[in-house]
Amino acid sequence: MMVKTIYLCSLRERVGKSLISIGIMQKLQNEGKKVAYFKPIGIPKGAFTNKADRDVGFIQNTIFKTTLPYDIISPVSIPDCYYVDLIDVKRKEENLGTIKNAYDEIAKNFEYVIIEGSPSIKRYTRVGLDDVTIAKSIGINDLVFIETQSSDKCIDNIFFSKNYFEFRKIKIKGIIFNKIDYDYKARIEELEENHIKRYGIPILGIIEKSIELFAPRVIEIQEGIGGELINEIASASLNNRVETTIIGAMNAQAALKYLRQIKAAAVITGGDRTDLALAALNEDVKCLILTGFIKPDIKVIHTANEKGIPIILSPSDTYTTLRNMDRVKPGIQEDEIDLALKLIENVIDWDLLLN
Amino acid sequence: MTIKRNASFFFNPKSIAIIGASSTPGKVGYNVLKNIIDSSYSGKIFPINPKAGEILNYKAFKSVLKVPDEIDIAIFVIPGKHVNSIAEECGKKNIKGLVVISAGFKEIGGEGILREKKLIEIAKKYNMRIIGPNCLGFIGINYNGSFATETPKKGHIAMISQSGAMLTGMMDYSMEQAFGFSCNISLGNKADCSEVDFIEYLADDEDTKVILCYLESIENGERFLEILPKATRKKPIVILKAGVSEAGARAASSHTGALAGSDIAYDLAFEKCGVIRANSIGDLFDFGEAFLYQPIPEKNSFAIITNAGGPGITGVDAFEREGLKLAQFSEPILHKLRDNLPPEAAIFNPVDIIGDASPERYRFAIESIFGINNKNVEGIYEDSITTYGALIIMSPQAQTKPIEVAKLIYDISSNHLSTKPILCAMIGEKSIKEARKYLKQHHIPCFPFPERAAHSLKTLVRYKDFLDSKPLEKLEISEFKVNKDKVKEIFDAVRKDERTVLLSHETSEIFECYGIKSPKSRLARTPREAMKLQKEIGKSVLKIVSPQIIHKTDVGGIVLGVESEIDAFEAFIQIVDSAKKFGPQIAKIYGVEVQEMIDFKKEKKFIELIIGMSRDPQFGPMLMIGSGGIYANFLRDVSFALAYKFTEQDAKNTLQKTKIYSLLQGVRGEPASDIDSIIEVLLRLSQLVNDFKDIVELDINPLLSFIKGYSAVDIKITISRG
Repeated sequence: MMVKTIYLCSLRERVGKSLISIGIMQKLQNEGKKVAYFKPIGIPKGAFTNKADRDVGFIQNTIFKTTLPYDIISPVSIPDCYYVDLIDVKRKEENLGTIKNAYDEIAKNFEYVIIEGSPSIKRYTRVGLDDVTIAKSIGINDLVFIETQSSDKCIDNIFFSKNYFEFRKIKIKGIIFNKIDYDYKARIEELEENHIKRYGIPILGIIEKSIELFAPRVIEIQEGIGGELINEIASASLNNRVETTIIGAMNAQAALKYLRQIKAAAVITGGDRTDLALAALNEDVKCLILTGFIKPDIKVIHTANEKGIPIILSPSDTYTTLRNMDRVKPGIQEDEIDLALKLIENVIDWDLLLN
Repeated sequence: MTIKRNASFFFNPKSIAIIGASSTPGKVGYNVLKNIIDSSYSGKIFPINPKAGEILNYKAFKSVLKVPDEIDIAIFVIPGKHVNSIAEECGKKNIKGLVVISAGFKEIGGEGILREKKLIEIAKKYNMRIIGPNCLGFIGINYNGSFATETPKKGHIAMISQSGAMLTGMMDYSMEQAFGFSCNISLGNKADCSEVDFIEYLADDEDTKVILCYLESIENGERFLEILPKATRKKPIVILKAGVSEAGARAASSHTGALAGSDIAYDLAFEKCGVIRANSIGDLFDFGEAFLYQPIPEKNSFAIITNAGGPGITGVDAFEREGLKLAQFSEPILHKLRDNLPPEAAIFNPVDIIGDASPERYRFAIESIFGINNKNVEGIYEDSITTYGALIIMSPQAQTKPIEVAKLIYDISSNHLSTKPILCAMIGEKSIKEARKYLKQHHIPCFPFPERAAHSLKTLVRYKDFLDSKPLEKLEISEFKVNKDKVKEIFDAVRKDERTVLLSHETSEIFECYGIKSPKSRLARTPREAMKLQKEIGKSVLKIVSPQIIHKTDVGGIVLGVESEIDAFEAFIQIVDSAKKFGPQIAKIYGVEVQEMIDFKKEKKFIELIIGMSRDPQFGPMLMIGSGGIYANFLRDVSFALAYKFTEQDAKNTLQKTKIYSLLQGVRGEPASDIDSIIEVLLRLSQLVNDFKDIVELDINPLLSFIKGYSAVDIKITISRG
């Protein structure tokens, strides 16, 4: 069986390679294809204690449930920060061999292999394990490049990478624009002809930024701020996603201007701000976070119960609560991987990508 | 579908069951049963108690299902948690109505809310009507089904109260007054029957002459607007509306909403329906008594007769404040007054018959100005009489004989002035107490000071004006040819995009559909598109389009006077760049709006107006017009009207109430603005907001009014989430 391989890489980190991998795998699986996931170099959770890469683990638990051992799916582990001293440059060939063997093992059993490259194409250049080197060593001649800038800087990134790939004698299969701002989509279409396609770089798809997917759930916020849920009746809504946060320090009238325009918000206000809490509960609010541990008026609790909106008492003041919320960094959850396909299915040129 | 019964059977039930009747004095179940018996109720009484036996000499039953006869209404005085199961039995027994005195429902929240919902479901299932729960009960002309301490005096005022405690207080107050009640209804939580249900019945009730209400909320504004205008044409309705509506306060985020406040919708709705609004409990009874005992004046033209200068002036001031007019006496009447009153007396209105005025002098003055006993003689004919009512003031002085004056006022009023209201102000306490009491007992409203009397008199005049106005069902409402389908299409697209605030090019298109002129506006998504649109539109303003960026100027989101394609190209880049730097991170940028720039400075005259709409949760869309521009919120020169049955006359009246109206008419030799076109905008807007309940708020600020035409420059429309 001749395997088809898609190698995803990027110039910058956190461009959404895992999410795109999941989406592509779902698409192929739905079509009855045998598809595997491969990540040549994983980043261990603990530098020396746990070599499991977070993305690999997630994909193994969801879309790629396999009997293949972890070392085949992700054969090399390199910690995120101080790694240069840990990798013996002289052992480059040995590492590449390990990667090739693992890839060959996977490739012989599947029709498609989706390879998630390193955080960036620059990563591991010093130790000779960068994406281009790995791709060449396993016999792949073209890479799918992912770009996320919603400004004309994306053109520079693309040309910089194009020049680099030409220098390294490897091709770009095409570009996937990911996490693109709504307003910039039209601009990419405008730039496409003169600045991308004419240089022989196909656009494989433009994926709009999804606030929904990267929004934390109410329960994650509750845990993040160490809050207490005071209306158990609304606990079914703890899995709802919060897309934005509003601090309710203004009067209710002024707050309405903002509340009317928000979608899926967490509203942070004082427990004694009955006016604002009631105004908020009338809008698209996913949870009320009351700071200073002040319990709200009974009317607020009744209304929240009626609408199934959780009220969380935060032990901290507003500033600390907000800072603690910043630390809540959610990723795609296991029960919502369908969203990945939904996000990309209609915007990717599948013929170009897969053939 | 079952059509709800009307609530009339509560007034004259043939049989009553008391669920939870008790033989123990002090228990509510005892008081209610005793009140029914003591109020000489002539129908059948069925005490219901699990122990059965006999209560207050009436055979008791274990359940309504055990009662052999039919039952019209059941009064509940059992704990809230048992109400629903018994209500189910009442349904099976075909009982028509439930008066649920029991508490423990919505007012306690949590399980109480669910309990009340269930009770409503049961009532719907069996087509029963509910008063309450959590109420004092119902007192009709034939029975007292409440736990009030006493049965109030019978009379012709119908009293409806949302607060049981207020009702008992008012009933107690009435015991010392001259009036009584045709019914006293405690609404409680208004789970089913509301004030509107009872007003609808009482409008045709012969025992009721005036309806007084104490309300904290009105839930079904639409029904209120449908029923009340018809009811108020049959008899006066006075409402004391207490408390600020939370729903109303929550509803407003626009300029219009902020300027309206939460209470104005009630004012407008009451005015539209002809309901008299009382601002205090004192007002409620003052107005009630005035309506009950005095005729409605034919014209706003009254006399003030006083025996002292100071109180007379106070009376004139009060007339001025209330908009009451002093009658101008005809020559023959003036001659008569001059010839027969002391030279120191003032014969022009107010008539001051001075401190030594005897009862005879009062009689002479009153009879003279009303042309009593001397009509068609002494040159006094019907057209010489210009007085349609009077305020009679008396200040106690050495020669004053208060009780005699009171008696003659009653005598003249009852024998000669059946169509002309007389109200009195007897100033003081000790020496005029008896006279005031006499007047009140003889149905002449009498107050300690002139202001309250003037306030009541004005209420009679307002009611007269309402009766003279065209009934709502006969009004001609303008209907313009519009494109509703296109507007619906836009709203659907906005909702699909999960937005509630419309973008500028969308509002511009909606206004086009309803024939309201606004500058041409289109959305550019890239700098090149901006170039093309600028070429098509001409001199333009470019503005950032993002629902999350509320103050565009603050983020550098506006470029004015874009005159060339290249400028548009650069302006687009500048605006988006700046908005991304300074706008909120969550802002979704749709592009840049290219809007036709109105060169209003070329116009000989332009005036900035604000026109808006805020949808009241109870009474629907409220239109607003006034002085616009950046100072709109500070000047607060605005006027409101309900968009319900909004006529051309309403539009004119609304505009005329603003200060800016005089500028629109033209001052210092300026030509007038195109007022007709502004009226038309209001009418078209009214049609738009009535056609689409989706529109929650709408602001046009400014709308530039010119000598010829206008332009709605900045429009904001918010729709509901659907």
